[in-house]
Amino acid sequence: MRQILLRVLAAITAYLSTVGALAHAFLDRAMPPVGATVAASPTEIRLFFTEAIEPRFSGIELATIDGRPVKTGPAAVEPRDQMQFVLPVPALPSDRYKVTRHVVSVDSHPTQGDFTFEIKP
Amino acid sequence: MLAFTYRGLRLVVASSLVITHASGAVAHGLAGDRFFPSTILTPDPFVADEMSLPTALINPPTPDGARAIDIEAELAKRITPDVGFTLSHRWERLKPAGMPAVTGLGGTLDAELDYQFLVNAPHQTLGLIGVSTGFGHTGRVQALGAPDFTTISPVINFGKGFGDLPESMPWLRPLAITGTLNFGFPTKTQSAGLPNPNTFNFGFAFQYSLEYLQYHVKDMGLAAPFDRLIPLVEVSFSTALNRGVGGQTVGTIQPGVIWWGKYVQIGAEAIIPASRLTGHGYGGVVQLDFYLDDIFPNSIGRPLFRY
Repeated sequence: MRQILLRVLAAITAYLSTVGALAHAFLDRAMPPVGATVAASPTEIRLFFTEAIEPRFSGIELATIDGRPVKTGPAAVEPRDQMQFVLPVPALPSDRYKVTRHVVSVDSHPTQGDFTFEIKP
Repeated sequence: MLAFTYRGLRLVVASSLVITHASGAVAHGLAGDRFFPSTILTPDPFVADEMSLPTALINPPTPDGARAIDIEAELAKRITPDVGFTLSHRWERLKPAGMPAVTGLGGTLDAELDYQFLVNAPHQTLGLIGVSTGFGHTGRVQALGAPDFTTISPVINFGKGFGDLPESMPWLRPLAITGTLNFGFPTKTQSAGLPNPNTFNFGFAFQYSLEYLQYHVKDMGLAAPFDRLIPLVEVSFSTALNRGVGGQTVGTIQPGVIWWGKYVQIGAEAIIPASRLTGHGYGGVVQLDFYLDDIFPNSIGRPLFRY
């Protein structure tokens, strides 16, 4: 019994070690960082994900903390790294902002989330 | 008051708590930006495609000094995006005090059919109803005290993440709670002269997600593997309702931690009896859980029908 169990686990582990990167795309890092206070307006919101994402079904929205949308450029995947999603932003005045994301990984798993950051010179 | 023997206790527990426990190793799920892991003890409030293999338990000694080791396996499969089923069973090694150890299939083969009736993304809320059946005579009745009767249990499970709390309460937003309420109805009123009562079973998992803290609330600089840890405390209780043992309660408290990754999660918890009737001393459990929907996204990890 124990031998069979060990062999099954070994086979599964071996498979997992060779399988491609297919899974939910969770946030791995953000610039500006999640919950951070920065001294000056960023020129972009850059999100780093754990998986490559599908830009046609993904998006990033920026709004002030009280819900006023901020007009931005179109969000786009970094050409050299499909795991980075970038939103160009205009010069932002001092305030707190909310970044909302909805992304679909290349194997079609959807995830979403949001975080805030603050500009305070 | 009925004096519980080890076998009597196991029959009562088998009709309720074991079903609660076995169906706990179900799946992981998402509600908005909240990730709910598969918890070891508390049945999960979502349908999914997962396999728990193995769940290894060293149970606390029972009141009469017997000690059991269980190896459990469970498969969760979605039939449609909202309907799923689970199948589970366990192998057991029982060592009664002063007697040789006995091994074999313990408890019952459990099957559960579930319907996901609620997914509220903004409020990180999940709801699931189902019917669980523990089939009698699917374990070693005489040697291991496995039930010789079938138990049917209507089940309601829920999950709630607190990420929708105000921004002014940042440290509470990583909290989440999942829970279960169910009744167990055995199809036989007694076995070997001992009652098989109807039971009310309930359990909760109180979780604090460091992933939610790091990636949704405030970047604390947590790196792997700490950014995927979920410290939690699970509790589960089963109360007999009738047949001369009404009011008697067994249960456990299980503090521990879960780490979740791309394809698997690993959980480890201590097992602390919550009453003298449950046992004494301590036990422990570890679980390896595979996310079939992430490992096989285009085959067995998908619902059978997408309607």
